[in-house]
Amino acid sequence: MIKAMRLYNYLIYRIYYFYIDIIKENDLPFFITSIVITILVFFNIFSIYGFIVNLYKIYLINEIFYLISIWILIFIFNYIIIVKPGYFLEMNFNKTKKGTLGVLLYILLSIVLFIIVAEINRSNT
Amino acid sequence: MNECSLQNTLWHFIIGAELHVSITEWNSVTRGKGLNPDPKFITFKIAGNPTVLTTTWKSIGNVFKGAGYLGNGVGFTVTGYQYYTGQISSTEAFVDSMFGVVGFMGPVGLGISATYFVGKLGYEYFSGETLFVKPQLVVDD
Repeated sequence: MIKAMRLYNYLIYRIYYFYIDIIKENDLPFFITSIVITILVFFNIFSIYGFIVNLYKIYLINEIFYLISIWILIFIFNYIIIVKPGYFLEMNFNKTKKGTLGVLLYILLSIVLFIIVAEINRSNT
Repeated sequence: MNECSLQNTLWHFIIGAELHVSITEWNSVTRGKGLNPDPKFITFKIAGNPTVLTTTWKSIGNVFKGAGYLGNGVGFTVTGYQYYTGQISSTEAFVDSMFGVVGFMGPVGLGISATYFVGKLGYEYFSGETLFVKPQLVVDD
């Protein structure tokens, strides 16, 4: 669990510094980082949800209103509890090539997994 | 116009971001022409020449910028959901996602993304046609 939280914080750290160093975003870096991390986490959750739906035919979210509500709740949690306090800045992370590769691989896998689950669901609709 | 498409586009209410860019440009223009010697202030020749703090404009701009990014984030998620449920084609999902990603690449990207989504909304609203071909849902008898 601690290891998973550390990995999650490293992901936040890399996204945060992507906006600071490359995009030169100095006004709302915490806010934008929270949005990006929420999108990634949401797609992971949605992929798992889609997998369960296809496997057990249990439908929990049928309306877009609930979907957006869940998204906003995850965003608020990420922003207030995890990103804004800036714990990830105190964890002595370094920007390594291995870390960059890991983050890119995670983003790529998240996209691929979501597309696979979505395509399965589309073919069943 | 397809309701989902309208909804999807509305979530990308990036007009705020464009306003932010406009305010930033306004500040640079006024300073560049020597109209604004004190960087803390910008002066408008409207309604009795009131003086407004640049920091206030910056805060307002940041609110719109934040709203733009938030709208883009939610819109991105809605696009994913519509793709997942088969409401939009793979092509539309891909193009929308690409412009969604561009929207996260700074104020310029946000402007480009806003132009696309507002343009798409305008086209679909005024022409009554969808920009992309919508998938046909199969209904069992």
